[in-house]
Amino acid sequence: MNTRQIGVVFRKELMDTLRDRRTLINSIVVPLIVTPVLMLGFIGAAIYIARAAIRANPEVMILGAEHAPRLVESLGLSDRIKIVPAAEDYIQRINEKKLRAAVEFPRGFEENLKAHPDRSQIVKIYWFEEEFRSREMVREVQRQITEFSTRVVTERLSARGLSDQWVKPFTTKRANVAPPERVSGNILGFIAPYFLIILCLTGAIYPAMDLTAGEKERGTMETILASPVHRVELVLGKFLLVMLVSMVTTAMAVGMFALSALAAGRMFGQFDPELVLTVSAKAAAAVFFLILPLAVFFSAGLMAISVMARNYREAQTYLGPLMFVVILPAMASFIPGVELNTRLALVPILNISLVSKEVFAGNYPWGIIGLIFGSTLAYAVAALFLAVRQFRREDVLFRT
Amino acid sequence: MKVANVGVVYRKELRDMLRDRKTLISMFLFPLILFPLMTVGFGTFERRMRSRARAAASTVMILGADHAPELAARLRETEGLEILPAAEDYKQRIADKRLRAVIEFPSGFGSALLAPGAGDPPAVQIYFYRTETRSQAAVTKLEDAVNKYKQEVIEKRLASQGMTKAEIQPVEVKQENVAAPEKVAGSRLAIMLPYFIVFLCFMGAMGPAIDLTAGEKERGTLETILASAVGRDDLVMGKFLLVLTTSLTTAVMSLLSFGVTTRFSREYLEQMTGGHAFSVSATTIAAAFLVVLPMSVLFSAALLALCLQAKSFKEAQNYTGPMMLIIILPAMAGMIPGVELNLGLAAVPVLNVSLVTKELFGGTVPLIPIAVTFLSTCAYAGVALFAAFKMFQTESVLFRS
Repeated sequence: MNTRQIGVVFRKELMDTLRDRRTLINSIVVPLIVTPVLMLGFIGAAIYIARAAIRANPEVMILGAEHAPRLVESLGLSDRIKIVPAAEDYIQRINEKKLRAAVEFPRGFEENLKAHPDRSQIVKIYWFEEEFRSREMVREVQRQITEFSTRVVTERLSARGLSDQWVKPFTTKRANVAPPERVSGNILGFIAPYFLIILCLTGAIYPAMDLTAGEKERGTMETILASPVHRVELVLGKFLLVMLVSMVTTAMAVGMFALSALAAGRMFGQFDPELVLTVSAKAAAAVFFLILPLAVFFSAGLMAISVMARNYREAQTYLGPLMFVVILPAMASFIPGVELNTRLALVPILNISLVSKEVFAGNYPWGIIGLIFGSTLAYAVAALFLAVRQFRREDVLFRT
Repeated sequence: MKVANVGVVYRKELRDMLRDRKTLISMFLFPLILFPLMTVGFGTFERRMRSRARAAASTVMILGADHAPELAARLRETEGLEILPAAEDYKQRIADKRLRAVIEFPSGFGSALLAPGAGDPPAVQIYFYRTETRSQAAVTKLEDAVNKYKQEVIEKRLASQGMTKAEIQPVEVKQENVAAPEKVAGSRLAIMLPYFIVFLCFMGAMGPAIDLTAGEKERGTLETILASAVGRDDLVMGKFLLVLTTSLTTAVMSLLSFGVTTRFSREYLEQMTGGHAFSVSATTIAAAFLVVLPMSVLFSAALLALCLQAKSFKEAQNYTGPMMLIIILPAMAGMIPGVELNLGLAAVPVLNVSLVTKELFGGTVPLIPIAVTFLSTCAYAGVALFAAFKMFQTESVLFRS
């Protein structure tokens, strides 16, 4: 192996890539523009839609409203609830999501409250289990009922000459003690790793295909192989270029993520003052450092696979499914409550997804970071070894 | 346009594609494997992780335990809580996730228990890490135990005044689910499905769309075809139909695969959705197909028009990459909880199909929004198809240099 020869191959491929203005645009401008738009747009839309969702069509039906005039009146005052006239088909309407919930008061509800204070009155709420908007409505109705119930209790206590302190032996308060950048880093770490991993992969796909299957399709593979450059040097030169493109794409994405997180924090901070979205330079650097072996792994793996293809179309056929294989473990960061352990740190891709989640949240488990870096590097070396072997096999290079 | 000519072009392209065994494999086999993998594989992993997170003991710290010996002893016995000795650096440890939550009792907590003292009731503080799932879980466990104790204290206090428990609980609220079990299960399972259907539908169209336009140019065969006796329109139509065929095949395979997966893993799914049986009816699949159809037309025509601009395979890929991202976003927006189909959203391309399939697999069939989705997507598809025809008429696009 000769480093100079590798350099020649690398420089040749690099020049080819740089001359192709469109590839450059794809690997630099797209992450530059797409990431912020994606991030701001998605977070903005998610917040907007989720807020609108709580307010839209807040239809609740009240059955037996005549038994609870006082409570129904206070329910009617809530601007989050729209009371619709009672009807027989409430179950069907809840099923069709036209109605969010139905509240049923028993016969003589408020009279019994006065007449029989030693008996609890049962109110039934019918809802669509697990349905987001139905749950919101049930919460609001319950809040109103609790308020009403507190008023009744205060009246009963004062009738006996007791203050309402008697039913409040103590209060509990929650206080967040995590620094604000960790609070919001947790939210960012939810979605960012997924996009970083996908960008790292897509960045490598184009050059990997072009430098292997593309050469075959253009009929230039034989020419290159006939040159005095050794096979291994050829693979390494090509590999270095694929990796460079993948790295540049990812680095741009990490940088833009940090910037757009700042902008998003400014824009959406008004909704929640505790939400200060920032990515520290340290976090960005650590994530980039972890993505490095992943880029090697993807580049070498993609080259090993696409060199088997005779043409572009075939290469695409192989790489399409591969994308899904990568997407699923990358989505691990979406699952709440998953925490890294030594075993998960050995699962490729999934480990990067989980550890970047930690890093964005301001947590640096160095032992595990080292383990993940090491294991990903081992996978990467195995993939690279495979790529070199593929390039040595005549039956792979000259398949018919 | 002559139907016979369109048929000739279509059959030629179809034969070309069918000869390529590998394309076929990825078209048929891939969706067949993906859906079981997604629902069963990813689902199992998620469930295992969640239940592990729930089962793991939460490490908590009690500050001022001697102010509330009774409650502190109660917390020590509570299942799922692991009490660490009190230490000064608890805030740092919570932020580092080495400690999930801290509960602090004020001095004088125990003295005011049997009757209200002067001033405000004592306040118990719980320190935690907002937005961190396991910290939230620890807080819930702490609050449950504390509230249970509080209720007992209140009962004791009232008993001393000759009151009963019912008197301070005038209203009891009972929740009852009235949604059909398969709807509850469906709305849980169908969250990711629309995203994958949209994505696969696009991916299915992408390969052939590039091959039949930029690919022809790169192989230098475009001129030959144009010189043949087949009219331009027939050519576009034939090519378009082939792209549509692959896109639809992928979409149909994924819908069927999802249907079959849910049928064969019923027991497993029941477990996943907390005892709610779930099955996909043939009507649901058919209705989903109805809205996927115009979207397939839209993708196929748009991709043809776009890829024809490219001179080579590589260039075409540079165009389709960003387009894929544009498709992914609205498809993902359908995954946000609480986003529901309405007439306005039914006119947004891609997002509408994503939302309609979500509704369908959730067991509801909103006819008017489905109709709006179908018609609006048809309209967009019509525009895209018109653009594709227009592009094939433009010499400057066909022979760019």
